[in-house]
Amino acid sequence: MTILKIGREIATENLVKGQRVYKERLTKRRGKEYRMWNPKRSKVGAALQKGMKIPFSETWLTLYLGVASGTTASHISDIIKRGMIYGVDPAPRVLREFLILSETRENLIPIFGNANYPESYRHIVPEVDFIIQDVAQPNQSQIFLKNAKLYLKKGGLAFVAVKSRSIDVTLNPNKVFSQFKREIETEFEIISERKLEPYEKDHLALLLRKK
Amino acid sequence: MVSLAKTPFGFFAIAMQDQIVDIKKLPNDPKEVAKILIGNDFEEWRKGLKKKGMDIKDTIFDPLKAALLLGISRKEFLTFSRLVEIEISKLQIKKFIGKDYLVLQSVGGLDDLNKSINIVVNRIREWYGMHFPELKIEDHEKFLKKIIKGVDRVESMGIDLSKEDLQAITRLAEMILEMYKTKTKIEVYLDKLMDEVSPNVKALTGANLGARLIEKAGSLRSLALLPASTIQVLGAEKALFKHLQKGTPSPKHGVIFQNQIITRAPVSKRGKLARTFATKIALSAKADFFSPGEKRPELVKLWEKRVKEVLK
Repeated sequence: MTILKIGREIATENLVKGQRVYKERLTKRRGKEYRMWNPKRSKVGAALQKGMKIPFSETWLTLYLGVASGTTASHISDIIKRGMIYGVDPAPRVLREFLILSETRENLIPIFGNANYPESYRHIVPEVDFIIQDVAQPNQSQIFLKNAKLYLKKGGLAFVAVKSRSIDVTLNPNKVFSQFKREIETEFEIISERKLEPYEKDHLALLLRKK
Repeated sequence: MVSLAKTPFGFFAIAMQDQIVDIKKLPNDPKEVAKILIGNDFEEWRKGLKKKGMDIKDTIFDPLKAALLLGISRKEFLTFSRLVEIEISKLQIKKFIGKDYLVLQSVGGLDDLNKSINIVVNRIREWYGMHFPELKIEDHEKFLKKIIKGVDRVESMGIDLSKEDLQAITRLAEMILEMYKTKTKIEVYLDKLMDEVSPNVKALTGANLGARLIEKAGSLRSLALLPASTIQVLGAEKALFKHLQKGTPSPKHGVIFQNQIITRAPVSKRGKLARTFATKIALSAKADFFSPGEKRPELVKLWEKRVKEVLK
């Protein structure tokens, strides 16, 4: 498997030998090079650290909404070697970093686009097996549903990081979380959920399956 | 009914039972394809088909499925579409980063300069204070010039310093004076830059405040898309969120408080003025972003008129 537990930490087998993406530590185990996955820098990393199990496959096509500079995407890239990650972000400054990373890894595609308008990347993104969403927008459930409707295959999985403070700072986070779950439950089954404390405050990670 | 597919390999019209009824192939060169995909070629092609009387579905067909129909493998599809989209992103990022990013960097540079100057001047005052604590000159620049020129020290409780000791201090002082000059030069540059980037906002707010607003919003585009109510409290986020969470009084103004008219107005009128000022900034930013180069002097007049009404 490409995800390894090393003591209390997790790591992924480096797809590009010697490459460090965000100054993470590299370590050798049984002749293979691994990149330590920092849960403070990655919500997927934090969820895995807190015991969430995601049944990754090496051929997954993945749509990543809010890819930013690609810290998390680089680990997913290690895992789904022969698949593809479509990384969408509307901010030129961070997408520039992700573009530079994409040129070194053949399973990354940078998309300068807005996840509010999923049709705008239909020329490149096919039906996918997996969606990751980390967008920190007040309408993040709508953004997610729109994209999942257009791109996620039936039975496909999705990892969603719900940031309650981006949805409504004035509400109790638990209220925001249950509201989010209500909004997606007709179309999705919740497989697993983890609060991301102490790595992230007021965040809930959800693993969903499209009905 | 036909479905259309827009893919890096070409545009397809696909009828029932996955039959390709029309096709426009694209060249085998990622750079060329990138240009075509962000242009209106697809729209033109679609219009052409409509004219021919084809009944076209609204939804766009899956690009991978379309490519498979054409005999292109999944691997080929993924490899080529990656190269194409990298080119598209490069083109779009380049287009997106406009001159307002120079404003952002200039404002940041001035902030950094100010911070650095303050840190070092405090050090110099502390350091020089050992020698001559009685020298009291509030203004940093004047103080620095004075110690570089040298002061006749009489009856001081400070310790004596050799020429060499003093030189260490004055070298630092000279560097800071140079930084003050740099600061002035950047301010002059920013003033000019704002004429080009956002003349209408500048006319209303002055170059410094206008640039600061663009910096807080993130870009001219973001500022143009912000509602006036947000512009009003840009820079007062701490007070705003405290208001939203704990119900403290809402902030009346953020960075726009720098405006002299608002600063000098009686407290009871400031909220009203800040509100109006923010609406005019919102309009000016929209004008600057959506019709660049167009001057809208009436916005300043509207603001001045309202100021008179409020302060009457």
